[in-house]
Amino acid sequence: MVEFNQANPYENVRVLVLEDETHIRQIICRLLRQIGFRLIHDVANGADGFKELLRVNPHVILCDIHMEPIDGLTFLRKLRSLGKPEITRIPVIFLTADSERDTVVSAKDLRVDGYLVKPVSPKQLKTRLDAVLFP
Amino acid sequence: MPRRWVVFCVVAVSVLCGSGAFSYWVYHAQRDELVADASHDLKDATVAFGQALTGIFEPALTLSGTVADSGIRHADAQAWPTLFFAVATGPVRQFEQINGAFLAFPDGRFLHVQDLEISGPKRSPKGGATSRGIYQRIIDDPENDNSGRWRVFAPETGLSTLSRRTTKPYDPRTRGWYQQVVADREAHWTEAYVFATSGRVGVTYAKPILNADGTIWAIVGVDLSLGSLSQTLLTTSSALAGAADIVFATDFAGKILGHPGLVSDQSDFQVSTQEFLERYRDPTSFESIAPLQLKQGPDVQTVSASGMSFLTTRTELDPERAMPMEIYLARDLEHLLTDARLVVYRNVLMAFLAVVVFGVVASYAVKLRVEVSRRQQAEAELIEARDVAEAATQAKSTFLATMSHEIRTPMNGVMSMAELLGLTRLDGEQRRMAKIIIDSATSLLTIINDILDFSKIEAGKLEIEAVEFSLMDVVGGSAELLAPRAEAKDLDLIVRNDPSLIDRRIGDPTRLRQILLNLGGNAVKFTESGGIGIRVRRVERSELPGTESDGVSMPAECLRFEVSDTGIGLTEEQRAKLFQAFVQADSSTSRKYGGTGLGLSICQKLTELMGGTIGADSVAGEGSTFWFELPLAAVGDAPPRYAEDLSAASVGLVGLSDAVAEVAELYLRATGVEDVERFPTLEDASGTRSLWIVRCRSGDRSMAGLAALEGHVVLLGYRAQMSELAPELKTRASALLTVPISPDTLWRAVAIGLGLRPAEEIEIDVREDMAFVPPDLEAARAADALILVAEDNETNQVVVRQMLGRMGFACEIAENGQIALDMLATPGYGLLLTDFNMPVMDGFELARTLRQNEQETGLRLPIVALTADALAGTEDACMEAGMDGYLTKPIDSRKLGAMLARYLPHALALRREAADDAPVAAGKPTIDWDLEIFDPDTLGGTFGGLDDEAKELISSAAASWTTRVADIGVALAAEDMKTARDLAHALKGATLSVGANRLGRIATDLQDCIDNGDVEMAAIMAEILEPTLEEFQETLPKIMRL
Repeated sequence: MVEFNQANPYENVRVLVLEDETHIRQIICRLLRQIGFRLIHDVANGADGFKELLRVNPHVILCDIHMEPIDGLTFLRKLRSLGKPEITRIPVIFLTADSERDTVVSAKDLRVDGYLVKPVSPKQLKTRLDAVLFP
Repeated sequence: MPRRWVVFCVVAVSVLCGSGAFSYWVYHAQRDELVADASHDLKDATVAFGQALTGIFEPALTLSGTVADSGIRHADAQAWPTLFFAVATGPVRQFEQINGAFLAFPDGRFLHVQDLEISGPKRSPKGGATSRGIYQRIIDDPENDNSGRWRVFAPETGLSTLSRRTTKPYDPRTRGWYQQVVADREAHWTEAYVFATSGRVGVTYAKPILNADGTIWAIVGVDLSLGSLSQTLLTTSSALAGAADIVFATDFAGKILGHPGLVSDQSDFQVSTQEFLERYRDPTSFESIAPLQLKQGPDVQTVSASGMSFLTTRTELDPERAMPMEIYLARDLEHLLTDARLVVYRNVLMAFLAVVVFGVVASYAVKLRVEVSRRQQAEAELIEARDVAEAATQAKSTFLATMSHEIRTPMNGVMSMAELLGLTRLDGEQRRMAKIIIDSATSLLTIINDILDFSKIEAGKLEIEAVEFSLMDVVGGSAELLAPRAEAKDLDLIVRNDPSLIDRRIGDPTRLRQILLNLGGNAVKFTESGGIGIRVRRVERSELPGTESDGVSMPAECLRFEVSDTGIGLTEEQRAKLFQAFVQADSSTSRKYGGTGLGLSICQKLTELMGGTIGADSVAGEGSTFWFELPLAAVGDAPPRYAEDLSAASVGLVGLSDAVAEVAELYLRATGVEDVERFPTLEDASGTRSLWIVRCRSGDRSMAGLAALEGHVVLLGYRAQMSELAPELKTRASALLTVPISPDTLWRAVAIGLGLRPAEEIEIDVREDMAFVPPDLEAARAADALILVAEDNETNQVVVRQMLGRMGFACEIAENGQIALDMLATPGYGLLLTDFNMPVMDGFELARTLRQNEQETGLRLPIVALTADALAGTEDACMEAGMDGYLTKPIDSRKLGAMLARYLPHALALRREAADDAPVAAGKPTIDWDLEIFDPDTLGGTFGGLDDEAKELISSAAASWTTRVADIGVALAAEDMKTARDLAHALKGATLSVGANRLGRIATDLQDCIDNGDVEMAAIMAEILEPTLEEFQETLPKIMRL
């Protein structure tokens, strides 16, 4: 699915970031660039995220949970229920400070591909992204 | 308490009144019931009386009927007297009440048969000699003899003889009964009168015997003595009624006909009859009042006379069967009610008592009720107060939790940023500042987590798990987390697990770790020199309750955890306040040492939640021991041991402090190792042992003595120290042991020493997140650190070269085994990385040839194979060819790093850290945009490269798209689907042919949506066309520069 580049496997991977806190979004983008990503698209909520998702057709999505007006769980639900397999198959990783059991269970029910609790280290993020991108 | 007495009196009076009223009501009910019963009895009795009396009159009626029916009218004049007497004499004799019977003719003739009591000529007042007999009187010639003649009937013979008796003349036609019958030719009963012949009181029943023409032939009559009526009344009343009852019979005019008194009171019946009857004519007598009163009103009435009350009723005899007569029956009410009253009085008394008792009980009940409701109210108020307080606590906790969360989010940002900052190239001062940011943020997060925990406990939301865990792992893991801090302050951290303890336990490992970390953290914080000890041992089972798991009660063993330090200690006073929330031992310490003061309070609450106790012993200035005891059920019954027998091992402990050595010996002995010797320094140690445990410290670059030791060497140190150890040292070690020692890792090390386990692959951290620059080839060659890569595939050549370069190793490439072999002829190579499959000479042959050549020189070049197929036999094949190891492709940089660190340790020193933002190989124009935005190959393929003509085409096409995208929006807004579709189709063709693939894809999707009638999605697609076009426009200048 991704053109594998030995030197930088992340070079041609499109990643979509949904995060409402501006500075956290910047940190995540920075982390992604650190890992080697170049094609990073970032939006502040699930509503914009949905349009951006249709627009850029990302390979992976990093998503916060608590956002307005559309939160991460709703976003994921919408994504999974969309009839297009090329979109429903996109891996989604939640990146959130919320470690409440209920939220984790809801996320799990929606077949989320990863659940990282903030603060996330570059290593953790990389490991999880590798797991979903290069299985 | 006067008020109380008033209340009591009021209650008592009302109870009395109430019970009185109730009793009265009961009495009345009872009385009415009794009277009703009595009335009923009376009615029944009168019926019986009626029947008894009717029996008196029946013979009379029968007799007169018999005479009338005997056909006497048709007998001849001589015969009928005989006939009459034959019929009448019997009944007169037989029935006492029948006084006589007669037959009277209109011409004055008269036949009479009488039951008479004839006294002697001189009648004595007391009766004297009287004779009784049946006398027959015959007046058959009234013209001449109106006295008639008498005959006496002898019952023995049945014959009558003439009597000498003489009586006054008698003319029946003068009699009342005669005149009555003649008047209406009906049968009649006379009133009571005194019979002329006998002098008795009686009545006469007279009935006409009519001729065929209706004229009277004769009148047949029967005299009835009322004495027998009274007698019957007396007899019947004594059978039916009580002694106090009154019964009498009257005619319809109220004149007395019968009365028991006539018989019982009067011995001289005949004489006093008149007087007697007079007596009852007294208007004040009961006998006079009752008939008058009962004429009106109900059947049964209460009649009062001469100061007494009688329940009275009356009945009439059947006129067909008896003379017209009324019978009165009266029962003395007083007598009637006497028994009843006794019952009533008893009932009333009991009712009264019951009411009084009830009143008393009720008053107490009311009092109790008042008391209870007062208490309930008080309780409800208390509950409400408690709820309010709890709600407040809940609100506080929720607030704290929310706040903590709110704080944590930005703190995460701060920490991540600081971490990123630390990764960039910084000078010493900046690095120090970044570290302070990280440290501060970390401690702030710890505090926030404390608050969060505390509020969770307060809110009752913290749940204690009961899962199986390893005691050693939890205690060891906690100690390891404490180790860096202890090391930073140069404190010894000793963990001493009792090796005889069963390791698997049921409990909450997370919370146990939390308590240990908290107490340990405090110990480190408040200790300036000396050491920290963590100890776990079994204590006598105290009163601690057993823990329950899955409903099954397990025998819980009580474990005592002790965290001791040689710190500032506590005074008695401080110790008392120790576990209170928000309180630190001394406010001055909080200034010096920081902290929320929540830690111990959390520990205490957690311990309590787990069913344990917590406490502290301390000597101020000398140190403290914080301990807690928890019931932790054991799983299984054996303490942990190494699976294999290790008792053969001999162990040398080099450079270990006494405390650490003691623990090590304890653990070693627990698994059967007895041969243990301590050496203070490396210089003192020598000889052969299966295992040397050598304490190393950070900064130890070379440990010369290490080489002199025979046997496996294990390095012991803090984890942080280990990572900074010189790779040369690590390559000598068979395993690394971290302080504090845990039994299982120590035992594993011993197993390695005995050859029961392979030596551990010591991972040598090459800091892959840090970019290195390789030394130049000559420098590497000079240090014998050059790596030769034998690889024929060009791509793999680049990959390996880049990877090695980034890790800081210099390399050269050989296209096949033969070339590699030639190159290796020159010195300077430290390691060979070789592919298996290569033309000319493959990896195996290369390795074999090389080893063969080496036999002459005595040198040995490490060879590591690179292979794409990690099959089962690969390792054997490698070893057989004389290789040292192999790596699978794609190559994992970490594994490659570890391999190099092991076989090429001296090359590590040659690495140079890469400068940040090292310029990427310049020259060739780069495509740094998403190829989906624009793929130059699309046009490039057509034009044979992106020349100016192609670029011109792109920019003019892009200019036209802006209006097209806008038109699509307008068409969709106007719901002009056809136009929108056509426009989208055109855009799709234009963009895809140029290589603007993202625009093309969205246009395709838009077209599909319109075709499918999905207007909503079409609108979204049209909306996202705009930013995509913008994106393309922004990329356009870069495209032009290509």
